[in-house]
Amino acid sequence: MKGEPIVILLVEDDPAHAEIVRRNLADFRIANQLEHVADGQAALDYLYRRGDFGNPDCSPRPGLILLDLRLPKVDGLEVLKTIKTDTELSRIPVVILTTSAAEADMVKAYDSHANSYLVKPVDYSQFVKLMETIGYYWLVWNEHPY
Amino acid sequence: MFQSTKMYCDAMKSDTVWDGRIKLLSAICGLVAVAAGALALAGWISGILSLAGFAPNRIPMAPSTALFFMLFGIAVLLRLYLPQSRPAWWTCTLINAAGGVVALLLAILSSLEIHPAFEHIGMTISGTVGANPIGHMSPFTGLCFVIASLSYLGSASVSPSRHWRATAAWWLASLLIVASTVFLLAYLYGTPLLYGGPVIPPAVTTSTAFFALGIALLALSAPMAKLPYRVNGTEKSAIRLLFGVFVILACGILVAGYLYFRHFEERYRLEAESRLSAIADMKVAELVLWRRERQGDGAVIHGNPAFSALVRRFFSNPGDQAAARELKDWISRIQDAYQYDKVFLLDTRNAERISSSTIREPVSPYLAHNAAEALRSGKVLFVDFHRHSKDEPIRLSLLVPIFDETEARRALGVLVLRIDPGQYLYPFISRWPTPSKSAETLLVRREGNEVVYLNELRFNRKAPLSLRLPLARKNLPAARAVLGSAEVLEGIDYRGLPVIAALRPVPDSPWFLVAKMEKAEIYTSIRERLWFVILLVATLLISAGASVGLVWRAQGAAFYKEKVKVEQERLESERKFRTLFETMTEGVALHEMIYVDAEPVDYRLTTVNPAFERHTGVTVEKAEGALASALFGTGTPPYLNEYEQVARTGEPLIFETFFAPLKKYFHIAVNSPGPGLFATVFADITERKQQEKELQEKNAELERFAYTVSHDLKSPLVTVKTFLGYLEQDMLDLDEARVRQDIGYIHAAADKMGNLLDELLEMSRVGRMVNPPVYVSFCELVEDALGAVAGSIAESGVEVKVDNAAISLYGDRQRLVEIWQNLIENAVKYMGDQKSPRIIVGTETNGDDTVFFVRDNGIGIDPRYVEKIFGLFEKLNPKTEGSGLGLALVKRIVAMYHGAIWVESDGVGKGACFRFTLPEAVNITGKGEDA
Repeated sequence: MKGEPIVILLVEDDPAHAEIVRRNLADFRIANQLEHVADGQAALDYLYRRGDFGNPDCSPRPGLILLDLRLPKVDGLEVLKTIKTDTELSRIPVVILTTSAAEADMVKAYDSHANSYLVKPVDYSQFVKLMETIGYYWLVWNEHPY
Repeated sequence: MFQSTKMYCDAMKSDTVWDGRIKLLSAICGLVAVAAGALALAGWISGILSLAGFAPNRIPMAPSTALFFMLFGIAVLLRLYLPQSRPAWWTCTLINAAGGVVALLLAILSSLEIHPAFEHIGMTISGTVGANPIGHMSPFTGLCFVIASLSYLGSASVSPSRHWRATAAWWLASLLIVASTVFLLAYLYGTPLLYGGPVIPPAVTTSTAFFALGIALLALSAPMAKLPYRVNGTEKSAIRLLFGVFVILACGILVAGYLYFRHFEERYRLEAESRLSAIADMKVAELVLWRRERQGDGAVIHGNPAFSALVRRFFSNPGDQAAARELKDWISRIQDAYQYDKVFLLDTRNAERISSSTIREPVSPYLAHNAAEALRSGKVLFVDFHRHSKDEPIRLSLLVPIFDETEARRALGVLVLRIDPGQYLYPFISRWPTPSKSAETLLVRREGNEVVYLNELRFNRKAPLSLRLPLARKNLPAARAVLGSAEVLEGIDYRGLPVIAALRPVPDSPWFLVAKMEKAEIYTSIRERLWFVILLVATLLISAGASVGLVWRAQGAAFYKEKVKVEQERLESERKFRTLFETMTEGVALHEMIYVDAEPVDYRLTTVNPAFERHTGVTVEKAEGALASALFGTGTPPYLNEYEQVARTGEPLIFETFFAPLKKYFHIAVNSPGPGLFATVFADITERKQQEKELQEKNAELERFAYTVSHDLKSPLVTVKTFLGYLEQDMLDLDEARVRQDIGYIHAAADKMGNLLDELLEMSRVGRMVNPPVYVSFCELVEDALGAVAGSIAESGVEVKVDNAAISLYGDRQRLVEIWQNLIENAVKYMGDQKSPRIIVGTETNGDDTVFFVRDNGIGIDPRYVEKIFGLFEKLNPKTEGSGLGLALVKRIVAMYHGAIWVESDGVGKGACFRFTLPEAVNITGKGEDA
């Protein structure tokens, strides 16, 4: 663990799902800051500090992005592509967290250099376990070049 | 075409008749061959050789030959009357095969002059004709049998692929006929061939039998033979060939005719000459005999003592009446007995003392001189033709000197026996043993350099002693005769006419005899024969020509029959293909490439079918002959490179293409029927392409649908399940706030799912036309739509303005209403914080298209999302109600009417304008109203 806790950017249009993520992280006492945006456009605005996120203090650089694929305005895949083609942002690990288990989505995501692809489990305990694992893996074990 | 069809019909009609006749002809000819053989064998057995040879000095048909003819003839008859029988077929084949071999053997032996005895088949035969032994086969006969057997075998069991065998058989039979004709003609002309040579000639019966056998074989082979009606594909060379055959035949006939005539002429001439010679010889012999008789008459008196004594008594005593009477009696008797003109007695002073005639004539000096000569020589003197003067008749005289036998041979006088040649000699000489118009006999003698004619001539009564011609006339037969020639020669007679004359000297006399006949008379019969020969030759020429012509015609009929058959088949086939060409649904066009400097620049349509017109809208008349570049107004010929490649390489090509000038998709198959040519077969696949496109769109939509469903339905499920888990925990924890929150999330998710399912149902219904199409006006539709959303309009206080456009539409009224309903709903939903919200519903005209629009002054749309909003379950704002189905639904309905929908917005906060077209509904309306 390094000095500052990693900022997690959650891009999720469904407020319920966002709540689930938030609750899980809180339950495991992960002290990391969770930033939630509801659509792709907002995610990009956040990352590039535009529009509503013009103030850098309000939009700290995330160390992990949890990205849903189906998003209003700008698709999740578009967001992923933008991130991964931007030299500034490309090193941020992007974990796709989606309900879609479609192979086409996975292929497209990995082709666009997604760091991980996770399907939201329908089962509660599984979802909880998944979120626990994500927390440990990406926030504890995963090393990052900062 | 018409003509050949007619010929074909004629040929068909005459076929069966012909077959019957040909069969009859072959049967007759076969029978003739058998009969000739049987007759000859009968002749040999019975000893009547003329049955085998027709003439005693002609070679007879050998027993072996006779046997051959019987076997070969039977083979022909068997073929004709037992065509299906296998044993008969084998018998005939065996007879001919074995016969051919044996005949070849005999021909070789015979030509080597080896005559085996087995040819006599058990009979005892000896004898010769000329130098040739009888009862043996001629080598030519043997060869002819070989030809006959080959011809027979050639025409036996001919398969359709082996026509050449029948053809060969036909030609061999023809050869046999020609050969036998030559021998027969030679017999007919009386100059039989090969007689007198070392080789045995074929008998006349043999030639006849071969002629018959040849015709039978010709008839057998003719039906299957393929004769050259066309050689190398042209009638011309076939005509040449047949003409050649005719020329050879004609030459043969002409030469044979000429030779025969020459032979006849020579023979007749010889005959005429020998007749002349014989007559001359006979006359000479008689003349000699006559002279000898006359000499004998003289000799009776000469040295007759009784007569001498009587003359002496009378001369010594002229008054002795008794002596005078007795003497007169003698003289009269001599004159009467021997038909003398006048008998009289001269004394030594040449005075006529006593005469048989009462007329006294003066004694001519010539007579006196000869009387003196006779007395001097003491011998009987024959005074040749003479006369005293021109007017006097010609006489011959026999002067008998009378001597006194008692008194030292004192001359008493001369008894003159005067002969009038007109009485006996001239008629005798003039007499000709056969009736003739010009034949005569001349008696001439030489006087100096002249030939003197002594007798009365047939054409010159005054000739005797007055007609004198110089010896220098070498071609005068009389001149040649007196010059000592004793032959038969041709010359020009005294009248200047050509004659043939036999010359003979009359022995013991100064006379020469010429028996002559005018050449013209001799040649009269030859000329008659010449006419006969010419007639014969002409008849033969005509029949040869007719035969060749018949062959030509028969072959022509067969040829045309085949040609017409082929033509009919071709027409039938063409009709079939033409029907196919004209009725097929695919467009077909034949083209030719146009090159400039070996570079393909364009191509021309040569033939197109009616479907071409249907597919392209270009009439057949306009398309045929047109340049591709000009036909569709494209400027450049369409697909030039592809077509050029096919035309050049011949490799077929199949491709599908969108042809912009016609706005149609085509499936085009290209092939090349020849260099520089190509044909296209094309089908309009626009509908299929559109269906494919629609299907693709549907598939994409389905995919999206499935995806969306899996995602969007799963999403609330995840929410429900997860929050149920939290709820459980929170209830245990008795955290009321959290429980409330959890239940709220679960509710929301369940509602969302419910909405989603409703909309999915709605969506699936849009895919199908639910209601029958009806006419409905634009205003009615908008009114319906406004009615459906009246609640939300009233709630939001939006002002709706509707353009009054008189447009009628035709379609599913409910669906059409849904378009406006959704768009207006959408506009109301995204009105934002607008102070004076307003929606305008109206129409515009863009070219031919009627464009409908729904404009608002709401929040507008970020231009980046104008495409995305029509996607299924797409929402720009996750917080807004609805599932994002509305616009997708609208797009779907618009697409059903082949229309398009798009949105225009100057940006966020500047309002939006949805525009769409419904060509299917609007255009059909127009048509419907017209109707």
